[in-house]
Amino acid sequence: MLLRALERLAGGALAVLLGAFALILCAIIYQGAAALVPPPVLQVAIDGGEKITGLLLKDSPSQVELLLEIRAAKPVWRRIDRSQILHRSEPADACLLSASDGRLRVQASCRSDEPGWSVSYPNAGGMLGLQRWSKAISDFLLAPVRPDGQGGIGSALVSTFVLVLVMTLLVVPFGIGVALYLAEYAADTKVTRALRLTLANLAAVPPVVFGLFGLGLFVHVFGRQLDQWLYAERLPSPTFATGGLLWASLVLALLTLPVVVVACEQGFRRVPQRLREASLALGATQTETVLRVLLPAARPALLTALILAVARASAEVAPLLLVGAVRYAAQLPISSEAPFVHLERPFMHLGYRVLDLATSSAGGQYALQQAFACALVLLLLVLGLNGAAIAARFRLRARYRDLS
Amino acid sequence: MSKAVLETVDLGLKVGGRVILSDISLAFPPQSVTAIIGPSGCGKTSFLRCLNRLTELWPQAKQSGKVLLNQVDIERTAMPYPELRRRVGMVFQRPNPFPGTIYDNVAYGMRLHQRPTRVELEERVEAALINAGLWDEVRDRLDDDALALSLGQQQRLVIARALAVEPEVLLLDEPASALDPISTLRIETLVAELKTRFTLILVTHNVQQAARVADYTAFMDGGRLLEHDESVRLFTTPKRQETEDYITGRYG
Repeated sequence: MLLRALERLAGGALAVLLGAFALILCAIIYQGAAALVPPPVLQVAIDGGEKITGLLLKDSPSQVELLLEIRAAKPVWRRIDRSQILHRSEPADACLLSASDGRLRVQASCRSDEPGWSVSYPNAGGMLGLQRWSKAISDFLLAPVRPDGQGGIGSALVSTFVLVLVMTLLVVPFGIGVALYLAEYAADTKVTRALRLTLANLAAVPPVVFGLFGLGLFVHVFGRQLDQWLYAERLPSPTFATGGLLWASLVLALLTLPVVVVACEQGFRRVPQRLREASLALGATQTETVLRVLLPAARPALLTALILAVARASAEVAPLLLVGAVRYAAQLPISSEAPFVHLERPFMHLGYRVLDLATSSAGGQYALQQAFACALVLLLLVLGLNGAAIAARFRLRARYRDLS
Repeated sequence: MSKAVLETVDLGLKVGGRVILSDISLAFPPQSVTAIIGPSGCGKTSFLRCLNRLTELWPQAKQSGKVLLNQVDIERTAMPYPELRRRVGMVFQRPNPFPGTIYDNVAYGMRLHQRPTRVELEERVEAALINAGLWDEVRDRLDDDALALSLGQQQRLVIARALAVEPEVLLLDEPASALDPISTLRIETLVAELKTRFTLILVTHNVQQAARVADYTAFMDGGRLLEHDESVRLFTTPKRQETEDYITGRYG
């Protein structure tokens, strides 16, 4: 009876979790997509003959909310009760003036060459508003970032991608090495048991502590030392002795190491003993056996480890704030000139962007939508990275299914 | 009896302080089949693993006594175990092909030890498969997955894989116990063919099988060698009561 009740409880909990997950996903997609669809420009005539033109931000049954302009990073709103509205329209030649410093103006009509402003016509959508969509999405992704952190998210997206990539390159070989040692070479002694325990406990350390550790050791000790050896001519301005891509990747690598090691070790242990015996009995050394039998047979598990590491690393923001994530970086961490990847540069990060937007006082509802849109892109990035690994694992699984 | 290819002198094995084998002195003449029979848990498989030092995989195993390969003490010459295992091949109870193609399985050992050209490799893979009696069944699908073969075919595949590195001795650990009667018969025929070129040591729990294929038979119980003789004599006129009880099925 008790078991029955437990089963039901577990089933119920699972259903609730799934429901919650679906809800979160819906919220992200709904809100995020709303930020990507630019609002139309609405012109309303109200009692008293006044005509108001503004971006339609909220259209509820009782009132509409219009954004009239953004002046010195301060949005100017106007709430209008529905009962006051005599007439509303979306004039095709209504235009949006935006300046590179973030100022914004909405006008009922304008000339095409306002000096200092770039002009767009949100309502002149053409078929299905396609033009409007593509403009909004390209603005969201490609518009240059401004020093206050507003603007397109493209560079943050690229930086996040590069960060995760460098982290992967660091953690996967090292994690596989440690897992191999634990699974294949280490005898079951007190030392190896202590090592395992340490690893398990490492997984329970709050991420921000890793960030602090990275700041203290990597940035302040390693970074200073590196600067003295290699970049003495640039001192006192720091090169590596400040937060940067390398240190952030290292912190993330440390953070994901336990996950990678545990997943890889499981994978190695699941390779049947008879395959090791077969290889040794043919005269292979242990190294040859590891390289030719064990690693190939454990590939699905290694990919699982990779997936877990990427998912975990893309989700972390807190430790990055301490070791190199910045609101605004003038340069990307990659470039088209040698050495292509600039490990010392501070970088922008999608997760930080979400945090920044969601907690900023300016922008209100609009900024929150932007944050959701960022979250959506971050989600898609993780999905894309993992999708590739999952597809590879799926193909390998089919091949190795008969093993177990 | 001509000079033994493989010989053990006072071979003993302890695992974690527990005695598994003691005082086993046994010689295996060239081009012959020696069967090792005995009840489950008597140490047959452990004995086989002592011969190619797969006991190394058991962390607490301690092996004593001598193993002589062509009259030479393995320990004294400090022959590396991989080299020993190339010369003393082994086939296990359950077929254990590697995940991968049939071709890659047979080529595995050769790729370790030499750097054969593609032509050499192909020739020797073919020769090994012919010797293992599998060539006619797989010649058109060498690139197929080895795990798609039937169990009986897999077992002949791993025999081919062992033959491909040209061992002098082949250890067979109950090679037919996981197989159906027809596959078993094929393995037995194969063993009879292979003894013209190799020295074979066959561990089996099947007394009839030992009587059918082995020239010599050794009976073990409780980690000791109780009797060793030509099969004809051991099965017709055993010297010890325990042997007689075992082979007539009155054991225990």
